[in-house]
Amino acid sequence: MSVLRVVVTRSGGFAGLTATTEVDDPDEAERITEAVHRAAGSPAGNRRDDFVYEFTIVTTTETEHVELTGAQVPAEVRARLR
Amino acid sequence: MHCTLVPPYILQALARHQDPVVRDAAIATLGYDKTFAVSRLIGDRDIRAAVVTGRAPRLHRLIHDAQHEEDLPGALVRSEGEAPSTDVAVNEAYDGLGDTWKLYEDVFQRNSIDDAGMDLSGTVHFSQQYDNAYWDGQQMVFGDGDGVLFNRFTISVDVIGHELTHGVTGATADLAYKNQSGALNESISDVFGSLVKQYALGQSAEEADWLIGAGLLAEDVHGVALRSMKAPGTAYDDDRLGGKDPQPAHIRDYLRTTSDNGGVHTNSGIPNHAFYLAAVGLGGNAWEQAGHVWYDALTGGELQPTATFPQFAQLTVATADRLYGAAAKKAVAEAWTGVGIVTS
Ligand SMILES: [Zn+2]
Repeated sequence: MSVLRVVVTRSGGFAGLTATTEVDDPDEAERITEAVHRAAGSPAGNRRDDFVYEFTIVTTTETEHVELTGAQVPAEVRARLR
Repeated sequence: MHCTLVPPYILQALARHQDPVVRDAAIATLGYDKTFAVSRLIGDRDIRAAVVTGRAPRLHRLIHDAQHEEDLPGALVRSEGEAPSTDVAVNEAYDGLGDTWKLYEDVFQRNSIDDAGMDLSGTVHFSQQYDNAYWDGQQMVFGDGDGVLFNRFTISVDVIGHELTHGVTGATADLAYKNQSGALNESISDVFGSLVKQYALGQSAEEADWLIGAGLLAEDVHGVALRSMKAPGTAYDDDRLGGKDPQPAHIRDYLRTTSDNGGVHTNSGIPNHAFYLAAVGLGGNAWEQAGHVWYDALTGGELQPTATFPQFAQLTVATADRLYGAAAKKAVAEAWTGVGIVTS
């Protein structure tokens, strides 16, 4: 199983706007997937007006959904949606 | 560790001063550490009670600068009573927290976020090109915006009032931040954020602009603000913001989504508009009858953390009846009917 692509959607924040980006370079998608899985175990925080990040991770065998808060999301992912 | 610059015996005298402003300031200072040792010095049972229970109004702002990093709270750059900074964001945060504190104290007799004189802590220049402001459970955090779509988030006093109100909601009804209760949580922050601005400007419900985030959108963005309580769905229309302001003004247009914790920043348009209609229907200044009805509903102990729009609506109608009688009850009920929510 290897990661083919990752779709990242950011919603919420004070402005409540939604932004999406797609990572389809397999190496980068793999790296982001690992960072997202690591971040999922970190504290979600209890912020109000935080961003919400949804990841759709498409591999050769399955499609996985992961949700992270702005407090959890890795900096390299945040930078892609700036 | 805090230092008292005024000797306690002078504060004791000031605490008995006839001018309530002088008295309250002295009590607030004496109450700083909230210790019996300090309050015993005063020798006045009423003053001691005020100090111990935190009833002495206490405004204590602490503004920090994250210097474009993300460590909170960052460097302390302006404390209560200090002279203005050369940094406009620092001063906007300081003044905006002061305006918010003043609305809560003057109008609702609420002594800061926790009603016990809690410090008001804010951090400016958080991260880089950060298009957001948030409440982290302890303090407020403001980004500078990217400069292309968004200006700095301290630019609009209602944004500051919105964030501080998340603290008040967390200390009271603690509405769950998801789906309808989450949209109510958001709406409460917009309602009191807008009231901060209206009260500071001395505007009646008819005169107010009812905008959230006026000035926040950068110059060439097509829009006047992020949200409009008077006319949800009309605040902006720009492709770079994803198109048109998506807020509904009526329950039939409620957005079903899993994004943004169930659309909490979108569906808040419905209770926002109900508050606007109630304020205009009741007449005068929105912070008077309408503000008191909403404040009482939020803090009175009956509002459940998982409340739905109809449950909150019903509570405000009952509260209006209890506080102001049948005519007010009718006005609030009609406001909810105006957004498609029928109460009894
Ligand atoms: Zn909010």
